[in-house]
Amino acid sequence: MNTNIRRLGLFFLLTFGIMVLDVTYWQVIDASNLQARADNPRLQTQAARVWRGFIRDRNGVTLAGRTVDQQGFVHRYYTDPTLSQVIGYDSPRYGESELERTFDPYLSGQIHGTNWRSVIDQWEHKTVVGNDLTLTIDDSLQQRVASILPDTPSAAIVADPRNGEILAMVSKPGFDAGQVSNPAYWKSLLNNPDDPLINRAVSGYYPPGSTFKIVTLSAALDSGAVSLSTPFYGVNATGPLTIDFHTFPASISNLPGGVGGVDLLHALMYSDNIVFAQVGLAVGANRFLDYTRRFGVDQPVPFDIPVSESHAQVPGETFNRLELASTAFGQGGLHVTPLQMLMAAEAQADGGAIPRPVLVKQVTAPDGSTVQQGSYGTLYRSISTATANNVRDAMVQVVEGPGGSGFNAQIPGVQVAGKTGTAQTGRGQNHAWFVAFAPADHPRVAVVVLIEHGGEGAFVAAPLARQILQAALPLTH
Amino acid sequence: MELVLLLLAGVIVLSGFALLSAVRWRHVAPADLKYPAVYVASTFVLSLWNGRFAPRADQFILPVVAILTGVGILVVTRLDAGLGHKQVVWTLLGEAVAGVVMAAPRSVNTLRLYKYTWAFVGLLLIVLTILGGTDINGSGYRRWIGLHGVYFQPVELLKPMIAVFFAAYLDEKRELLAGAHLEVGRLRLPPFQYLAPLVAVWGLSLLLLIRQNDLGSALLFLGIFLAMIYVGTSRAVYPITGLTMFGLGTFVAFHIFPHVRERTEVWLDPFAHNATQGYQLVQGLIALAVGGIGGQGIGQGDPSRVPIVTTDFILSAIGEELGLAGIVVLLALLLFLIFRGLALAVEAQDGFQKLLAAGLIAILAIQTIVIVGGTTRLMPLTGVPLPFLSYGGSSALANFMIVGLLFKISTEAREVRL
Repeated sequence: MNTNIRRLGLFFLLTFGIMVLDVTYWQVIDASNLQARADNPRLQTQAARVWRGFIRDRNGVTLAGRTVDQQGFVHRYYTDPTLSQVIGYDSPRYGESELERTFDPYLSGQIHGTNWRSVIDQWEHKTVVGNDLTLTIDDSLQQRVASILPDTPSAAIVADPRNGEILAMVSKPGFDAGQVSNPAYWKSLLNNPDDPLINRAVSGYYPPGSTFKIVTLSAALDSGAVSLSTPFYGVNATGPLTIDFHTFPASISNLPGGVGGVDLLHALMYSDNIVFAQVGLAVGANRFLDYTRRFGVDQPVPFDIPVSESHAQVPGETFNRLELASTAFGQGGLHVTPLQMLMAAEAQADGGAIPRPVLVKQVTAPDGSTVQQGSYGTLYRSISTATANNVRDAMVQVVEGPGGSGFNAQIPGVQVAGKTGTAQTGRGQNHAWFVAFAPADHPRVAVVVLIEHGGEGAFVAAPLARQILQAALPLTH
Repeated sequence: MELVLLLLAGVIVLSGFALLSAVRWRHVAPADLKYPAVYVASTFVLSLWNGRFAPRADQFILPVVAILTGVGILVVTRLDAGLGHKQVVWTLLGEAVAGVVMAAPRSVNTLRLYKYTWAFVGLLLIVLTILGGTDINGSGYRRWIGLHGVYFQPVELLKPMIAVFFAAYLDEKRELLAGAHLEVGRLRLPPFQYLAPLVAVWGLSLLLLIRQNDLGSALLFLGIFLAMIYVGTSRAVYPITGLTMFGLGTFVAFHIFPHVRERTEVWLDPFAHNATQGYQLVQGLIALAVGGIGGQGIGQGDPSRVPIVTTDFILSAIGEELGLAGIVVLLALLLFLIFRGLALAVEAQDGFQKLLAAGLIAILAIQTIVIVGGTTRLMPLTGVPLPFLSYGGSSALANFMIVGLLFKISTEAREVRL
């Protein structure tokens, strides 16, 4: 009997050994997988106790902050609802969006400077304090731009073309990030046909209309296909123009009565679609598409918040001569974001280079040390400096020259370069566009304005762009 | 020796409580130490009582039990202070039971005279529970008997009773069971009339499984019986036949009863059922993972996220806050206790006492295997308490009854040798 008892003991020993191995598997080997599971309720409680970092504007104004309640739970608050589509929300119920999402590892303190202290703090269950963000946004300008835009679906971006810093970015309709955790409010946002959660400035797709002519003109001048003084006479200027059995009517030439011929500069000033259709054909499909890519179309845009990629054509459709001609004056299958058009204008303002757009200037640790600098740099060298300067001068004529379509953007004492756009949408009113930068010789501010179904760019968007430039110029140097 | 070890156990338990109090309030609140201090004092009283009535009994069992019980009370108190206080009261009652058992003037062998009474009373309790019991936690099964607001789980008391019955029965029929056999072709099976108790236990365990959805207790009773019959007869054919029959029974149950099938599916892939039937298991595993090697520290994790964490899933709470290190130490202590118990069985002079000691130890060992294995996905999850660590009044009484009986056997074995 004693042998059997010993064998029983051996059996128990073996089983306990297996149990220890199994517990080791769950607690050590598979532990990180299990802990990271979405149904681990601790992740939320832990997140709710993290002292999430502040987000401030370029002048130190708090845009997103925290309060800590009696139980040690941290609550997020936002000071400027016009920034909700830029900063995003941090909601225990619906997660994070925009900067709150892309910079979450910094804000929630998961990424910190190389610091042994932080490892020890973790062991001691010390409160995690996140890093603070300083944005390139100027909140006073931001609020000004928001008040200038109408309360219909619209977007505007103000940037510094020298370094790509975004000074203001407004998308309407907006929402209040501080109320997102309220399910009724959230539902109302989801049910709103105007999609307030979408940041139209970087994720809305629109035909760019005539604002895209600055890209077509850049391609034509940079490739040498056409020059600013190249003349267009008769039907070549006024239309109608027939390409591959499709006829563009004379009405789209936008020429005032009695003008029977223009050079390319005046074609831009009047925004003559008939001429630009021919310019597109002169550049040729391959070269044209090559230049659109150099301006960032069909390329991912590296940015601090998610951005949609602009496209020159509808996928699957052939880029024939007719498409090329329509795309050259900003219609066809072309669909772009306002950010894309801002970048096209910045190339002219910055001697042919497009800076990487920047929203986060700096990430700062709780102790004040710098964790990370903003991602500054040049995104593309689109065209030569000479070409850029020529296009810039032409854009100045659009605003300042006699008969120029952008006259509504004139500012006394400041030379403004700009381009209007009135994009056909297939239904409803046209989209009103305006891109501009100033002062033309040493640009400090670039701006894009889009009013969905707003009507004529020259009469709807250009005056708003002027007001925005007037607000922004005194704030920059 | 025992007193020195008990002192160590007391210091460990009290410092655990002091730490918990400090984590909660940022300073040690004396009120938090009241219940554990009473408990620690009670272990010394039991030890002194022990020295008076059973001076030659094993010196290691009580300290090990004291530290396991103390850690159990600590973890339960951390999860639910009210429950922790109740557990202290149950533990005191349990210690009283152990004290009475070890001081009883008659020999352990007296128990064997009433073997059928034990078996009958035990079965009666189960039948009564099935017929007139209460379902206090909404599981859909009546597993408790209520008396003036105090609820009792008869299945816990059945454990030591059935071990006494088996030990007595097997010791009597040992020769017959070991020798005789029935030849069917090349198979040598035990004679049918002696197989009757085997069949009866098999039936009982399946009854528990089906009527009460209590696969844990079913496995436990079968396991105890098979371990004891193996110790008694040296014939591997018994455990093999028993396990095969149980396997067949479960296989049939799997196809007939949806709750058995559900449980098996959850075991095979809990993560596919993480929001429904597998929720508890998945949450338990996550709690273990969160604990890692060193644990979050007592009072610093969030183990109450796991459903039924104070009883069936106490291991997850221990794992989250005390870590792999804590689990390994506690399992090592349990294994040590099991080995001391088996050593007692070897020491015992009498066949009945050997079988009884082995059976009582098998109760603790198999219970540990079933619940630890269930919590860690080694086997389908079945709810039985983790001995000395889980919250449970009936279970505390039963466990201390087992401790008392082991002491009694130990004392008698050493007296005979002198």
